[in-house]
Amino acid sequence: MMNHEDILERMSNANPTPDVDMITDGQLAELAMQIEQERREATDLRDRQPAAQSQELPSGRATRESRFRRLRPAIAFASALLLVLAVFGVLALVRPSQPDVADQPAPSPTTTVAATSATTPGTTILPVAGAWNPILTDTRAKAAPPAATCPEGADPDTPGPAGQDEPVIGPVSDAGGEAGAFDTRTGRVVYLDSSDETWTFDVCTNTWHQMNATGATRGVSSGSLVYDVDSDVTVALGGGHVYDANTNTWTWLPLAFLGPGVNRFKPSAGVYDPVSGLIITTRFTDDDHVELWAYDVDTNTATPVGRLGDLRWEDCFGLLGYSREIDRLIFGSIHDVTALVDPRTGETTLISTPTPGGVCGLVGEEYASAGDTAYVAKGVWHDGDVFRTRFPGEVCGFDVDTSAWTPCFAIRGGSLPYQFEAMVGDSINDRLVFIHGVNPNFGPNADGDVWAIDLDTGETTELLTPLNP
Amino acid sequence: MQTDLADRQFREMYQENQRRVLAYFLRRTDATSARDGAAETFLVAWRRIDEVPSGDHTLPWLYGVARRVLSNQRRSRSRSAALGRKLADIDPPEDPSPEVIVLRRAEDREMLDAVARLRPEDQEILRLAVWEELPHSQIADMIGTSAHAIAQRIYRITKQLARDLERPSSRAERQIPRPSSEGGGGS
Repeated sequence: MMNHEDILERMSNANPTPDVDMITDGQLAELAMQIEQERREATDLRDRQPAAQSQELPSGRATRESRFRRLRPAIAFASALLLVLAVFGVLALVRPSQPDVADQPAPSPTTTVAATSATTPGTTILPVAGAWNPILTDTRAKAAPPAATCPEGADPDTPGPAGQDEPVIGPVSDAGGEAGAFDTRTGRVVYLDSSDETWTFDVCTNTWHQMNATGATRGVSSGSLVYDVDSDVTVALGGGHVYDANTNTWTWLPLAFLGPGVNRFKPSAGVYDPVSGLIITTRFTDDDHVELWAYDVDTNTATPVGRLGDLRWEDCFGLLGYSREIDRLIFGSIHDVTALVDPRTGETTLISTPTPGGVCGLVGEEYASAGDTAYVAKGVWHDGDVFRTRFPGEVCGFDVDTSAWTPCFAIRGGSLPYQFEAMVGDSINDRLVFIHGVNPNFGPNADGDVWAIDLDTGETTELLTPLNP
Repeated sequence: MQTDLADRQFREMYQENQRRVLAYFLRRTDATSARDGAAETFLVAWRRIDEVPSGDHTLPWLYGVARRVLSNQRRSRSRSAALGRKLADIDPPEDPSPEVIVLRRAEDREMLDAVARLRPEDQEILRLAVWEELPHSQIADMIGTSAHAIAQRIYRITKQLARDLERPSSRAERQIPRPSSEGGGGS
């Protein structure tokens, strides 16, 4: 039987936030902003009452003090406004061509019907709910740098050297855990392990590199990673951190991810938009609707683009990927509905099809952009009384031609819950890379292997041999 | 208390304890509710700044407030937690199929499920001791008993958990996964 210490140790291991340093600077900034806002409102309310009393008991000092107290929130607000204006002023000097939402002419809501899908049974077209900012149309991406290729003689299908140093798996965190993105310029997966250590995985030699990155590295592993081709950096959406592989440095850019006056900004999956060169992500409004936002890492500016029809957070409507071929964002929900959203106009096409809904905040769900579409593993659906994995033991991609989540490929380990820590699209070899870390406490599945599924053939390839095969 | 002094005291207290208070909530609820709860806790402290004890007593006092805030949150779930509310009514299936997803690593899930079957006050004492690493004397102050009594109680709690975890039915038990209300988590 387990003893006292065993139980305490297991309890300690089950701590969702074992270290307070796992809390990101972004989370603290959001908390500080919320407290300050509510303090200001409370002060304003409280100061109205003494102001009335001071009329009954006039005295020079009391009047001056009460006037100051009445004005204090206004002064604080004006100071904050000046600060924000100053920051945005500097940003505008850096990139004056990017106007704010308020400066945009409000386009009339569109109800254009998509030519191909409008006649498909089970398909619905939703009008845009209000104005749609044309920033994703008006902004143009810079010329993309040449994408990396494997050097002559490289054999990406041969396992990497055995015994090499590997990332570490840590305790499960509700914050999202480990994340990876594919840097198309360097040809490496950028991966954050549970200790916020930055690693890269060379998909041509199948070798890990511990980067020992400098800068604001603490707490960067919160949320998902997106490689921004236009700016040649990798962005961690959860905390607003940016990794520059050229300088091997992390920088914290807090402003954009708080959003102007936004109280419930929940960055989830983000995708890089090759047309505008911006990162597209979503926010969930206080009434549980989904808003699209565009993020420009060069100016650290997050701009609201528009609200998506009747798509609701409570249905786990999540951004899963983007397809250049049809220029549509791909969303999934737990009610077997896939939504294709035109990022330029906001037109939304709802398709009733078995869908791996995602972005419920579930540990284990993974989504990646690969092969010009979205791939999802462990996405869930709601079958009436319980959440189940939509495609057990498989990873499925959305086929833009058939509007269905095929093809599906078998995941190594079947429907076990934790076969990998991150799934990343490798555009050099046109495959999905599945990454594990090393932690012997988590049993035989956590064995440090890296493997891949070829998106053309569906074949599985071992890229790094497990430590305990 | 003079306003400037109170402001300074609040800021110092906030700087000192912000991570621990936010972590307290993150260990017990989803990220959005955690932020709301931590904000509410510090707002209570701000309103009652002249009652906040100093030194080592500050954090237990904040945890005491946080505990009540969390309790209020759970009683009055807002509509933003509609998904959680919907799921709360779901009974676990008797024979869950293997494809039912699991939120945590199996061992952690099993442990947390066992803790969830304890009395609420025992759950909180255990979490304060193990997760918040609060000394027994400070937990005792919060609960209104002696440090020795807390030590004894934790010992009894761990024995109860050990028995519970050893039961075959406990090992086989699975919980229905419940999504947190926080987005993210993919790559």
